[in-house]
Amino acid sequence: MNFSEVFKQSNQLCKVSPDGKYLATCVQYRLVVRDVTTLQILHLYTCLDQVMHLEWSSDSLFLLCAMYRRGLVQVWSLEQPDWHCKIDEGSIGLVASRWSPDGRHILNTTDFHLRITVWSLCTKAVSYIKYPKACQKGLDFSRDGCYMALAERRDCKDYVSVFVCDDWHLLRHFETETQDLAGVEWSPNGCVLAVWDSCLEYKVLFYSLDGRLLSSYSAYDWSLGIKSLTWSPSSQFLAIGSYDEKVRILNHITWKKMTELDHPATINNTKAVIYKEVERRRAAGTEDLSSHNLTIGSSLFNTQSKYEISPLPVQFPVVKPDPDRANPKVGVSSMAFSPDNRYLATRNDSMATVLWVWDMQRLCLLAVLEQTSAVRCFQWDPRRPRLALCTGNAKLYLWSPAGCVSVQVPSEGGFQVQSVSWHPNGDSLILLGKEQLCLCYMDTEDEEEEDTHTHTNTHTHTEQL
Amino acid sequence: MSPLRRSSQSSLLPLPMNRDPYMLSSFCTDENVSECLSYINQELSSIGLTPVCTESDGSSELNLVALLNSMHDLLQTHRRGLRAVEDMEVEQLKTNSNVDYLQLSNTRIKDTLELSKRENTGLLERERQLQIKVKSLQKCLKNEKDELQKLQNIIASRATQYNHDMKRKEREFNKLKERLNQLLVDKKEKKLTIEVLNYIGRPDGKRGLWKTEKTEQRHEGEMYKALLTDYDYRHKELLVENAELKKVLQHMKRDMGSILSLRKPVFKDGTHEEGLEQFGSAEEEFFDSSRESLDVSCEHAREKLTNSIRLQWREFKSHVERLDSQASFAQEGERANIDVIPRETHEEEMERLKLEIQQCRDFIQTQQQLLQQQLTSPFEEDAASLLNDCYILEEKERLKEEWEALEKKRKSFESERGNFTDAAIRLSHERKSFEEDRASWLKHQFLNFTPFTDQKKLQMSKSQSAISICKKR
Repeated sequence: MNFSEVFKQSNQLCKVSPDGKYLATCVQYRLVVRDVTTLQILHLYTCLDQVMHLEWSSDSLFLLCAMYRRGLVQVWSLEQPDWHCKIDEGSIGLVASRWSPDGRHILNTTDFHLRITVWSLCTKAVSYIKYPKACQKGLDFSRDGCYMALAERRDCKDYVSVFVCDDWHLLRHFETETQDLAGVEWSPNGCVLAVWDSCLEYKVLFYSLDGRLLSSYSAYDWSLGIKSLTWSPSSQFLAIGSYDEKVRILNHITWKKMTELDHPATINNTKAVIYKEVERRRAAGTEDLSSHNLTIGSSLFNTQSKYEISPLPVQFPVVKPDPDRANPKVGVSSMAFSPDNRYLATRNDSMATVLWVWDMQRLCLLAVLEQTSAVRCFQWDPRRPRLALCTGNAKLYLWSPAGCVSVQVPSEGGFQVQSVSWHPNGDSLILLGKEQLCLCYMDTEDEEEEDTHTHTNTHTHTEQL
Repeated sequence: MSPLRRSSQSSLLPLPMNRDPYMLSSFCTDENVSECLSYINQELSSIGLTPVCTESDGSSELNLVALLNSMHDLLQTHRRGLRAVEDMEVEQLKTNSNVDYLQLSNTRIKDTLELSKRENTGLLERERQLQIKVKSLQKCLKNEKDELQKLQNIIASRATQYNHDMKRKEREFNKLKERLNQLLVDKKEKKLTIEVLNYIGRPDGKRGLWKTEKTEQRHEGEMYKALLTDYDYRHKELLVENAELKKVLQHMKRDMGSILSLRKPVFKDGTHEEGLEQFGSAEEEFFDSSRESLDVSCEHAREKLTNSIRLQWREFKSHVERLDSQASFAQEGERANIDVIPRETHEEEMERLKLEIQQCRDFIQTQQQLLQQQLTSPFEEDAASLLNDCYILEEKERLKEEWEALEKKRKSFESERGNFTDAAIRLSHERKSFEEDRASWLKHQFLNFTPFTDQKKLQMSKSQSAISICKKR
């Protein structure tokens, strides 16, 4: 495992191009495009204001930089660095901006979600979409990029509009039986649209591509409902995480619940492996103070940690949420399926230091990772069943069915990993700190189940950004 | 009183009436007058009355006055006795009636006691039932309270959520109002513009099309095509799954049939016919399966397949149950059923083996530990070797001593053995000589057999001496 040098970034804006060749980062108002393997700067663009949102077009030829404060969007081309495009929303303001799947249209959501303006980069056409709904996930493109589902609200009623992304033709427009629609999501095969209600009512509706209601599912009444929702990559399962700390898996044939995955605070009897991160303070004097080790900065302050297998029964620390506050920190807020459909990783907010990994073949708990601090971000490798997670300290944690490992991220001055994201080919990881970023290149061999001593990459570049 | 008097009189009469009136004088006759007199005197004196006649000089004279007095006294006593009897009878009657009355009241009281006891148990029972009811009601109340609490919590959380949303919406509304005001005030409106250096081509290189009805229809068509392909794909998958499951079912059926048919010769008496039946049915199934494989998709065939599998599974289950019962029966009885290993011995065996494995593991572990200890003390090697030498030296010394002792013992045994062999040789020699002596003496005796006594005596003495020598030996 090699780590690159640490670079500056702002606003956690660091995206790899869809073809995996380039890495774009923003530093204040400048956009830096690097080559992923050599990390050499290929292009440098200057925007008019601090960039709040950065997005690659689907063909990796263009970059979108949105500056919400000034209501501006700037588009840069990689092929022709001289090409420029600036979209000004005027006095109506800008709240969100994104590419369309074909990479030639830009959808701008105005202030107060008054409308969505569809700007075309090929023609002079401009389209407007009225009454978009401001909710958790009001807009979703299907995986193949053909259709777009948009949540709307008119006259205190929820509607869903399905557009054809080719020419923004309204294909279907139907009312949904929700009280307060919270989100829409296409299934990966693009044929089913899942629509869910806000947390005050547990309800998921399934609509077919042509707008027919296929089925609806509600687990219980009255208590707070759905917190998160995710499809499995094969569209076979839909995982619903709710405020009652359970994940319900529905199958795509009957749209009925297959099983409930519970996240209890104590585990007495399970076949799963429970890994507990144990910090190990290095006592000064017992390690060999070779010059090699001293170059790994602040080793006296960074503590090594490793995973130990906890014996049963196990008790996890629970943080009870404040009952007087809305959106309580309890329930399953993040879930992710592995790309081979075999594993599901979930996190319960009341036990934020614990990450649960479920086996989808047997529908049972496979592994539990208990960290020393709250899990901030976890993501599956796009190619293989390997999970990377971070907890806001200077370590990177990896889990695979073979075992799990904790890796110290080498850096001077401490680098707190806030989020991780994988490169599309699964060979490297991008670690984002508050103002920094670092790349981690994986070895092609399997990791061992012990501490791995990391050594810096032999890049001789020093960045002055 | 008069009837009593009469009765007393009547009671008087039976006394003399019992006897024959002519017998009155049987007590006293002319001959035994004096005896009677003395007897009566005695009796009277014993009673306490004055004697009737005084004895003077051997002739007893009858005192008439005394006699009349004593008669009168006797009559008085008699009357008194009668009166006492009367009184006592009255008393007895009274007590009898009292007793009757008491018995009556006793039974009455017992009845009331019985009744009250029964009432008591009834009341206790009622009390118990009421207590149970009270407990269940309390439980219900607790449940209701819990549910109420839960609902209140839910209401509270919903209320906070609503409030939060309301506040958010209000804030947004206020922002909107502000923006509207600002826009109304701010005359120059910034229009939305797009500045592009040059428009770029579409990603697929084709030209854009106008939005017409044809394109709309095309979109619809594409959408339905997408849906249909997805349904087709799913349908195909389901068909494949169905076929696989059917294959599995058929395999299961075949296996079950073969197992059931194999078990036929193992069956004992009563089950023999059943085995035949099963075999017959299995054959039937085999025949059917070939036909079934032809029309797999037919509803009827599918039903037939599932039904036949269900029947076979039931037979299989009953067969396994029978085997189980046979196995347990074989354990209880003493027939050793070789085919069926009783479960308990099997489990015992397993336990034993597990224990053995554990012991071996412990042993290996301790050995490893010792080995580790030996290997992981490099700087103690000399001391350790020294120590080892010391231990070995002690053992060597001990060994030497034991060896010497053993040598000594061996030597003594050898000498003893030599002695024994010598003694045995000597014994054999002596025996041989003795035998020779005996033989010669017998020969001598036989040859010198004469009727002469002195010669006999001589020989007798000789033989005696020989015999004594023999005996001594």
